[in-house]
Amino acid sequence: MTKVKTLPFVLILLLLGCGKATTPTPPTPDPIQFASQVDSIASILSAATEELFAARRENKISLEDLDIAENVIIALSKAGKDINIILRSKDPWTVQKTKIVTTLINSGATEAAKRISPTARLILAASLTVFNQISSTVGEPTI
Amino acid sequence: MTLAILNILLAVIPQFPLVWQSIMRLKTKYPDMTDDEIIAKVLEITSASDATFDSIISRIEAERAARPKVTENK
Repeated sequence: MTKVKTLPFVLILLLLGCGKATTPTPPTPDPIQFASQVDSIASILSAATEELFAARRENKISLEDLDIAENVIIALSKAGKDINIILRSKDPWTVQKTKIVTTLINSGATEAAKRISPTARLILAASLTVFNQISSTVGEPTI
Repeated sequence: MTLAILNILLAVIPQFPLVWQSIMRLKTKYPDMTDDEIIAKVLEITSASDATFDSIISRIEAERAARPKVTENK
């Protein structure tokens, strides 16, 4: 008799238990996550480049400041392209990560960024923030 | 005795789907994507950003070509 009484209870609890299992969002694979970050920096850099040209037209920055900022943008763009080549390789993520670190060090972006004027730095702020995020992901020093 | 077993079952069975999912997640690194799918996705994203980087570099080179050269950067 007890068994008969508890049976519906058991069935309800089992159904509730199954319903509770929500599918957790799977983690984004590291190379995809990293490629997306590089893609973000590309879009932000593109907008920043136009902003810099506009700032120059409005005489908000000198030609020399623009030149220095452009050097940073070119260094970041070339580093981005090199990173993309690494990401497309069949190396495991740990190997890719090491190669990315080397690319970031050799890019010269950190050195070039030290000479940016305050106004140009303001325009490049978002780009530098994303670059720093990318850099931190692989454990590299930031700009 | 029957009730004791029933209690244990009631405690364990509702957790089973979560436990199973955890096991599956450990078994495969990215349960929802194969290696080929990851490579394809990376290729898609990097191709897009490569095009943007190329366009940025070309844009700067064109601007530079159209203005007097900066001889010294200090």
